[in-house]
Amino acid sequence: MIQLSNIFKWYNVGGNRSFVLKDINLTINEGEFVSIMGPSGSGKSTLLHILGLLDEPNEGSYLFQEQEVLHLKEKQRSTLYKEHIGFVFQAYHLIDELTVYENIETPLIYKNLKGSERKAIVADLIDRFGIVGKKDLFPAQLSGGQQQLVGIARALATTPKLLLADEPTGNLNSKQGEEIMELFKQLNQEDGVTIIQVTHSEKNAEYGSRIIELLDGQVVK
Amino acid sequence: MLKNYFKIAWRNLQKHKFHTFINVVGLACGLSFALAIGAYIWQESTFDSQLKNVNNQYVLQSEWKSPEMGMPITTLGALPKALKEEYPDLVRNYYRFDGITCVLSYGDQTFNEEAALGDSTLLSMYGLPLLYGNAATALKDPFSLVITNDIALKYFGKTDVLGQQVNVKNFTGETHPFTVTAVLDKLPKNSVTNLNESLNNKVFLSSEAVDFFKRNLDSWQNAFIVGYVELQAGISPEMLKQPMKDLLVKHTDEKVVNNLIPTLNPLSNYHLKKDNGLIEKMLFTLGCIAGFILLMAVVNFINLSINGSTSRLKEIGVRKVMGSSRKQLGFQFIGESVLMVCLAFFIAVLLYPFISPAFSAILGQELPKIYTFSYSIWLYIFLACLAIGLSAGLYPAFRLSALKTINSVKGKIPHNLGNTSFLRSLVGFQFVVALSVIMAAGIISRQVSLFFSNNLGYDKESLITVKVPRDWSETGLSHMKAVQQALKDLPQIENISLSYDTPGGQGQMATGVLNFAQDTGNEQPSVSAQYILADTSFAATYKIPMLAGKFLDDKINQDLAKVVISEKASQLLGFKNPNDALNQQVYLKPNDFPATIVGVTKDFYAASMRDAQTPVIWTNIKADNLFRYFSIRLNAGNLGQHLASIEKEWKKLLPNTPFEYQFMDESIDALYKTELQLKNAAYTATILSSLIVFLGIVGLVSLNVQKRRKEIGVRKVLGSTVNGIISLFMKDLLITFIVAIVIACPLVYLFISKWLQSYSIQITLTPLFFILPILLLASVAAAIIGLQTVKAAKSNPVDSLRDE
Ligand SMILES: Nc1ncnc2c1ncn2[C@@H]1O[C@H](COP(=O)(O)OP(=O)(O)O)[C@@H](O)[C@H]1O
Ligand SMILES: [Mg+2]
Repeated sequence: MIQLSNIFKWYNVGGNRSFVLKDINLTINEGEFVSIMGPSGSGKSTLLHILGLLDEPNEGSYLFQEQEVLHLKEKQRSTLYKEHIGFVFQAYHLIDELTVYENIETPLIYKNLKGSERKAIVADLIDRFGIVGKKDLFPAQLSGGQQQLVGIARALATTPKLLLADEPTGNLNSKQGEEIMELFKQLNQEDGVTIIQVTHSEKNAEYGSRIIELLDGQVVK
Repeated sequence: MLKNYFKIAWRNLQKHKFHTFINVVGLACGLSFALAIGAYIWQESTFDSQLKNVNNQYVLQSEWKSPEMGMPITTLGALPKALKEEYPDLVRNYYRFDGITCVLSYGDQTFNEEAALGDSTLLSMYGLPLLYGNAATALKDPFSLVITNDIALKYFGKTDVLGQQVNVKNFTGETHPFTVTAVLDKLPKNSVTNLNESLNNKVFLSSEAVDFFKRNLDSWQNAFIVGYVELQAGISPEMLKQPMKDLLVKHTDEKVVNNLIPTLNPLSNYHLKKDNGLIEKMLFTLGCIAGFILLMAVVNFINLSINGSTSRLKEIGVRKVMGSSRKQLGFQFIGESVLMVCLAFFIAVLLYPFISPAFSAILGQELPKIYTFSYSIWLYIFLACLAIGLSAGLYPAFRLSALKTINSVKGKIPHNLGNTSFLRSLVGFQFVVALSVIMAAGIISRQVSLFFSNNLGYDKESLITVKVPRDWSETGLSHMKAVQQALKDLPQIENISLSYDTPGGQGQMATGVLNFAQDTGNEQPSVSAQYILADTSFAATYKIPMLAGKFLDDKINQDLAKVVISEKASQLLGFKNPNDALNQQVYLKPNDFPATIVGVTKDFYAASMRDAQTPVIWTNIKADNLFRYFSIRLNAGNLGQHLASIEKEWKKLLPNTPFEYQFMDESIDALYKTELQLKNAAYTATILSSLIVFLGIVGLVSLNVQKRRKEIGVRKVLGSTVNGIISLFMKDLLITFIVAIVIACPLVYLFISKWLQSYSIQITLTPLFFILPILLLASVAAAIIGLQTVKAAKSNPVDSLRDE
């Protein structure tokens, strides 16, 4: 599903290249649940952002479903988001001005679904994530764990094949974290969603089927 | 999709209430001002548009080579009629009137009214709206009377007054009942019944009544008739040049033919172009002021929108990740700002009825009601909303949505954003406009107050003018002299003078100018002076000082006139010293009538202070028996009581003449109407532009404080004082402010000195005119910044550093 080859990413700091990613080669197959681990500053987020097309590497190639996706036109990229990729952020990044319901509905609007279809999908997700009672609340009225549930529900609304999550439990307590991990596992096993998550916790990494370890911008394991 | 955008937009506006409020209010202020000024400009530029066939309607006026031969705004009485009768293919119709003042009385009410003694075509030719009566026949009978609805209300208290009779007095004192044959509805603004400030007729008499008033409309010698013609379709005024010339040759003498060029001025733009385009220039200036204020408000709006939108970077990023295209984001931002502009416009329109009385006072003129706006105006308003909204939304729509998604998601505002030279120049522009407006307002008000200070060369305080009944015979004059003497004996009156003209606008200097020279013959260079026919107490009443000799006396010599001239006139005649002019002989043109100079007065402003002091010449009314006004100087004391006592005596002396007085300082006000408009508009603009610039600073600084909260926290932890932090924000705007000063000062200097040049007396521009506004704006701006930042600077750094 994903094939990265010779990915380099660097920043120019004081005239010197400071490498964040050095020659990353990576293949991830459909249906995998991958955890990326490594010390702080090792380039985990950068890698995930590149995988999620939020950021571009300075060198290398990225095939997504056998198709080169670097340097895509903006329109094609938004199509990829709409059809294939869901993103979960460490800081949730819900839209503060929208209710829970509307946040989950937003990607469906961009997908140009009809009102009735959207209603059905959102209702289903809300039900599944157990946040029916919260659907008319605004993000600020929710706890961190609840917000992250909404964030995941939103990422899943378009039924993406690939779910990317950058420390999804980083701001949550361990019980909330466990719930999210159970959810991921279930998504991966029952719905066949490919998941790539960045995590600091060995325990969370165990939920996945494979662990990639980064050190100073290089894959060490 | 749209619903989602709208929802987001609305919630965003709500969430950032303070920001929205400042933004919408600032824009609404600018828009209300522009709307009011725009409505005024629209009204003035469509002045005659409601007249029937306005594009074929012309007013027939005169260019005289020699100004004493006639007035520029009138024409020869017989010319319009002859044009229609002899050139029916060119001229479809004509209307003429002789502007007279007559005394109307009904029951115990007696008033002076300006009346138009004119052709019956008035009612049919222009499609003036009639409430009652028949347009075709109303002005046929010699003793018919057509009045406007407000005159009907004034005399009868109702408008349904057909057949009612009013007594009208002619100039020899005879009265005759006139019957109301038609009542006009509220007249549209037009140059037929209201040719200029002093000709605003509301009473219309038939041309058949000329005999009763001893006037003559059909004469080739009467050059004081206001004439209008309606040309046939497709006929241009140029095509009448030759016919008019031919008519003059056929009917008048060589002198008129050589001196007169009749001109046809189209009514469609007469109002704007008259008085050398005074109104048009004023509208242009007002338009510029309104335009700048609006531009400033719009810039403010754009600036605040852009700054506000940077706080929504995260939303932009998240939306992109959810599959939004840049186009959709663009639409969202543009939509939001259009929504906000519409809100501001809605407020401006709601405010309009409330602010228009204030603007009416400022402009000295009613503003049109909002429901009279034409569809095209609403269309323009809508387009303006769209354009303003678009320009405010474009920046976030394009710049922010083009940022790297990763940076947006992280909420990382790139260094160059929100602090770019573009945004700085927007704030700078606001400073420039605000500074310029404040400076200009100060200078304009100083200059205008010059006109109203008592440096006219005569004392305008406690001075009134009263119209007297017109009986221009020797008996008439001696009767008036007796009245004058009786009034003078009143303790309330210090002095009183009878004259044909008065300075300062009231008399309009109707006699025009008189040319005179030290030699006979028309080839000699002569002095053109304002001509005042007055009695012997004129200079004493007006307190015009004598430099040499004495003012006029009553010993009339039929062969040798006595004249008094002003200092300017004596200089123009070539006398270095006023005393040299005494007892010198001059010849009054064009007839070379000999006259002796018996006195020289100090110079004064006989007309408007826009122009230089003109030379003045007086002759005694006793020689010509022409008079129109008493000028009365009141003694100190309660003016109201004085006037009441004088009126009581007046009623006894002249029972059939209303006592209608005008304070000299008020008639002088009327003389500077456009200047007062400008001054008031400049004041309003000052308040508005200051308000907008302050709102702009408030909005900008509050956003900056928000953006730099963390920085403030860090700096405090590192030991910065509260003052240090406040000065951080001040420094931010200081450079922009300095640049604005550097631009505004020369700009204002350039335009203002050009404006001042149109006046003969000018204030001198001192640096203070520039420094004071700078200090004013700077101190208020500093206060605002201080108040806003002090809270952030005092806050506990822990609060701002905690998140994440
Ligand atoms: N805009 C940037 N400029 C310079 N260096 C950066 C920039 N963004 C990230 N980095 C560097 O890249 C490295 C990797 O960052 P990141 O991928 O966020 O690490 P991780 O998520 O593993 O903690 C860090 O050392 C960070 O300092
Ligand atoms: Mg990270």
